[in-house]
Amino acid sequence: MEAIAYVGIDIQFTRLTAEDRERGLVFLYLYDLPYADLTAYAGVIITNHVEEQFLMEHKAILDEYLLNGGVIFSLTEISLPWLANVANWKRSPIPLKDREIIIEPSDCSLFKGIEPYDINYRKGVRGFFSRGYFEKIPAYAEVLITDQSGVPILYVDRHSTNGTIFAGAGTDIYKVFIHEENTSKKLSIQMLACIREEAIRNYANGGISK
Amino acid sequence: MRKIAVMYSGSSQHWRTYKTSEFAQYIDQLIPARQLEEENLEAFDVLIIPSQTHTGLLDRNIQKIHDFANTGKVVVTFGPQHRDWLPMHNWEFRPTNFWWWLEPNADSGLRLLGTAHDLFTNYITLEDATWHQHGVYWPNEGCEVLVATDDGGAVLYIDRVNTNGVWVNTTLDPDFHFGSYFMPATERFLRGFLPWLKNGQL
Repeated sequence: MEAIAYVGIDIQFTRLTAEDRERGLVFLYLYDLPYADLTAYAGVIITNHVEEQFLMEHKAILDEYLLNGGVIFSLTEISLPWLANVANWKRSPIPLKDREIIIEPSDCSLFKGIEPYDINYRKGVRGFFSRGYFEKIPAYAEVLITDQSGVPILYVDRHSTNGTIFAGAGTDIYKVFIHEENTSKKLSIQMLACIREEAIRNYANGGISK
Repeated sequence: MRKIAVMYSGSSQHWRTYKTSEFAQYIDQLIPARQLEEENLEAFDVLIIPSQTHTGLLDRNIQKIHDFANTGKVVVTFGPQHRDWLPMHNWEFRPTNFWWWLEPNADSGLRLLGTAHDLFTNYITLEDATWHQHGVYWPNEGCEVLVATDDGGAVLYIDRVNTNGVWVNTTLDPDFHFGSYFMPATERFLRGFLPWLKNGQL
């Protein structure tokens, strides 16, 4: 099982559990990014707990990784252009209690078998999945999640670089549903599986990332 | 009018709360957390340590923050600290109940002790300070507890006794949740708290 890096600063919300580590997640301290060999990982999850200015200063590392067929899954509500063609995050004008998260039809297995209700609600409360959206997405990107107004909330971009970028305008979909007792519980495992599938596909297409 | 600096982590939540929202007007300088060690704090009256501040960079600046307080200045800390670095605070972790408000006859468990304090007579209400809690402090004698749990644990208190300065410590994390756009009360809290910090009676 190839390792997947989970990038963040050290705060309560970014700490990995034994279960996370058994699944192959490795915490990559944000400020160690310049010293890390990203090609050693199947993919890189960039959390919403990062200093974006630092990522701007080290954008070249991410660009090179993607050039080599790397896989980045961004969970950052992005406000600086450190990730190829990912637009700024915008706050949704729809009240959270009224906002419906919609799983779009796709061959991507990320949300396979997950009931929309289960990512819309936690204990009857909406808003955990996402409070925002992307105003625009790259050409040929595949939108996986929208809301009732049709704006993109999560997409996968296999065309802007030689690698794969999953970009989410939401919270940490690896962690937020991980202990739920419904279909959303599968999301964290499927997220890691998707990253590994993309890594294999990109490697088969000539990438050097694992 | 106090000059306020913030130890700025640059996360999306802090970006919105401290840099791009209506609350930026109260902040005189954002000091990038990576640069705090080298920063001269003399010009500032108040230093805010936000909730969910990177613990590694905080560790490198604890002495500096204490030194700042000991010059008679004000330190404000938001949220659980994940390090025992506040003076005589005696932190007690408690599991967070995010769902208390869904229960019949919902009671947040918070009690306002500082009914006569300027913060609560002129700036915010207890309801503005009510969303959820992550734990409590048990500060030593002489500290002024403004908001407590029903069993007396401090959720918001002022410490004028343990250093030469003033510490306003709260387990509440309004800056993180306002920046996450997920807790409406946090917006009301900051609309009162920051003007108080700027101009009010501490």
